[in-house]
Amino acid sequence: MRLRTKILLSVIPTVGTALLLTGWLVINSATRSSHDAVYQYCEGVLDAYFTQDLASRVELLKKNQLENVASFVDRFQQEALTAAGQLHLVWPGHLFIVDDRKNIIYCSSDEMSDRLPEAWDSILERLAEAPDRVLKGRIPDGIYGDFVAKYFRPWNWGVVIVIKGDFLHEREQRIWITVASVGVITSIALILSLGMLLHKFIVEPVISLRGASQKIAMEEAPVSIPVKDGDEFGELSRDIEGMSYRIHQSRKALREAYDDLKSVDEMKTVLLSNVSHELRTPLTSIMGFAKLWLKKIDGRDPDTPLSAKQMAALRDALSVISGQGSTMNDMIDNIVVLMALTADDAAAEMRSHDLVTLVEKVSNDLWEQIEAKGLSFALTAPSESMPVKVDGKLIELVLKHYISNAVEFTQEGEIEVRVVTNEDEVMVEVRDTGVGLSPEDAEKVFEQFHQAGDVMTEKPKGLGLGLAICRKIVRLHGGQVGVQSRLGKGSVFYFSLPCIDDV
Amino acid sequence: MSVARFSKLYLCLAAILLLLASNVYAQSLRVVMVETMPVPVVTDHENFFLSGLEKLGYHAGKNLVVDKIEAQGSEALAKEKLRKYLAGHEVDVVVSFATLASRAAKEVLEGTDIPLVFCVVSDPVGAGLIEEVGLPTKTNVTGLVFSLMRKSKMELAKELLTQPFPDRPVRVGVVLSSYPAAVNDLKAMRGLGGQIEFESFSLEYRAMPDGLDAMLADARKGVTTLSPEIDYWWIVPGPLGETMEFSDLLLQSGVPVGLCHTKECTRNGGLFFVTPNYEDSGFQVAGMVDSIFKGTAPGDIPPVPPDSFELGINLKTAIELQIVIPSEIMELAGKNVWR
Repeated sequence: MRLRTKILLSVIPTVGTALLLTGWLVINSATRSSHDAVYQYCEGVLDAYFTQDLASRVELLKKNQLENVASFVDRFQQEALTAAGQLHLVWPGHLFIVDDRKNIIYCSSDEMSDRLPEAWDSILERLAEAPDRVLKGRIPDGIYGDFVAKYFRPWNWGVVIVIKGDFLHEREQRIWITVASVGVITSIALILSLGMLLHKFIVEPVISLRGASQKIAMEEAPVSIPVKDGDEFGELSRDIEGMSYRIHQSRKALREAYDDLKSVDEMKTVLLSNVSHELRTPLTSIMGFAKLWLKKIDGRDPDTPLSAKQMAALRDALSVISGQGSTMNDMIDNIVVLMALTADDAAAEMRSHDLVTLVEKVSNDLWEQIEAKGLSFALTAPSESMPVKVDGKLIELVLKHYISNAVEFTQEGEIEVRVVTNEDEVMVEVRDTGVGLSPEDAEKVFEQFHQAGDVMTEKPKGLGLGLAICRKIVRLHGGQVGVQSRLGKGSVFYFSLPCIDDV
Repeated sequence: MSVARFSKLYLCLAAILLLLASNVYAQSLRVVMVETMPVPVVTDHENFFLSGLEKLGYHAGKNLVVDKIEAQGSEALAKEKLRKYLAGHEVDVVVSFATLASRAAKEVLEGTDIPLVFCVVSDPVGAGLIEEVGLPTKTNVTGLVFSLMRKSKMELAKELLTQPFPDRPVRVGVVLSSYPAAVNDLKAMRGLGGQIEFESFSLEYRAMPDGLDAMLADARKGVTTLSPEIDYWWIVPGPLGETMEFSDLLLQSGVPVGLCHTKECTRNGGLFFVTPNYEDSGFQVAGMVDSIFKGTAPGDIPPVPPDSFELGINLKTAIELQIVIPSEIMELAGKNVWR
């Protein structure tokens, strides 16, 4: 069942019951008030059209000392009775005047005077007992309805005004019709108004909230609910809006995490592929030489010493095995370092070091390679020492990668290491006159597993982790890495380290 | 400074004051009252008229000049004095009191545009002042008719006077002078009579107050003549009916006076009187004069009966005559009920 139907099913009986009760109370009250009003009206008529008139006549007689002049009294009484005869023009009931001997001296209805019920006696007796009171009541036989009676003492007249039963009945009917009409119209108006109000204040917000929840389920964007009231619905809509925003954020974070994981997975695949490939190459050399020499050793006399030529060849083979083993070791070192830096708790051991000394140490370690390629090397620094607070081993690793890359990709010319500084940071630049990088490679050269093409062989070397490790190390120190390069013209790889005051 | 210079200064000041005074005087409105004779009904009306003007903002000596011409009961004298007055003054309104003065004023003002407002005239049509009561006259004459509608007066008389004689017509006696208002009233009343039959004795009108004794002497003859034939006396309007001497004459005749013309007559033993309310009438005439001052042409103001009347009853007389006064009439009489 729809909410609207439920509300209507709740409102209609409630309003109906309330109106029935109210109507019953109103009719009761109105009937009572009507009777009271009729009594008051009778009393008013009795007073205004008759009692006051009698009183004024008596007053006039008294004022002129005529109360004992019979001719005047008779005349005035006659005038009063004539005036009473006009009462039917304004009054729908009957008037009786009875003297102190219970003789009817005036009756507005001949029919009634013939059928005077016994009840009159009691009314007249009660009037005589309480001459100053206005008597009100219902005539017992119920034919003529209610009455109001008063005793007019100066002339000993009992004056009784009777309200016709059908007059009262008509009034009651009018009250019933009025109350019923008003009740029906009011209930329709109330039900419609309440329905509209409830629809506006309950159904509409609920529909909006439902729409919003559907939107949250279907769409990713945060929802805006057009319920801005300060009531519970307003609060609920704001909560739902907040919830949808948080869901949106969570979804976004999940998607990013998913993308990261996917990227890591892809990297892992690339890593495994690279590692397997790069490890297999030196292993092939190692295993080849090892097998060759095993075969040679197995096929010869153990007592016959190796000739000088054979010794030289053995030495070359062992040298290759050692070199390839060293390459494999470097690869594994790089992987270990990268793993260590990728870990959540990766941290640098920050200590004071002289950057110039670090550069010199690394260049000395690589001096053999530099010389082997016939390259010149220069170190430029603003002073002989440049104290920095870094993890010495890690920065050495960065310098090693930068300089060894420069040596590797430079066929002739020179390699220059520059150390420059300003107030905020220290910058180390490694310039070479090597093959340079294409703009595409320059953009991606610091990413993991990216290998720039060898211009000579077009075959990438290594795992593509060196510069990625450099970037992680420098970022771990709070610095930045970068490269400026032109294909065929050489490159400048640089990194910056923030100056730390307490060095 | 020489005496001659002082004299010139004083003269200049006096001239300025005179100029100012004459200017104020010129701005004042002028009313002349022409009085037939100083009987109470006339003098009362004069006083209430002046009070009415005061209430309407006209103050004698400030913005109003009021002069009075006394005709001493003589129409000829009224004409003569008014002509003389008009020759020397510019008059804004002439107000005449009672029939003779009103007739004289109308004649004198004939052909002029000076407005004439009459009052205390019972029968202005009969007196030739207007053609019809209640309609604009389109002349320079308007005024207040000193009478209630005769039909009402007659109905009241029938209600009271016929009570002791339910089986026959009532005979009333009227002693009247030849004063026009009296003659015309009797004539009109006879036309409405029905159950009331009028027996009359006429005498010659003489200018009041000098002619009163002569008229009373004639009236005595009338009383003697009519008394055996009538049930009540009936006093008609006119100077004679206004006098206490005449009403006393009738009251002492042994025949009850049914209709009086004055309050005093009723208080002294007459059955009832009904006349216009003097105070209201005086104010009503002042209202007419005010309208004329404000630019309304007198011919556009219809002559009307007064707005209110005064009724008086003597209960002692009523009880003696076995007449029961209905409560409505007694209430209308208000304070004017005597016993």
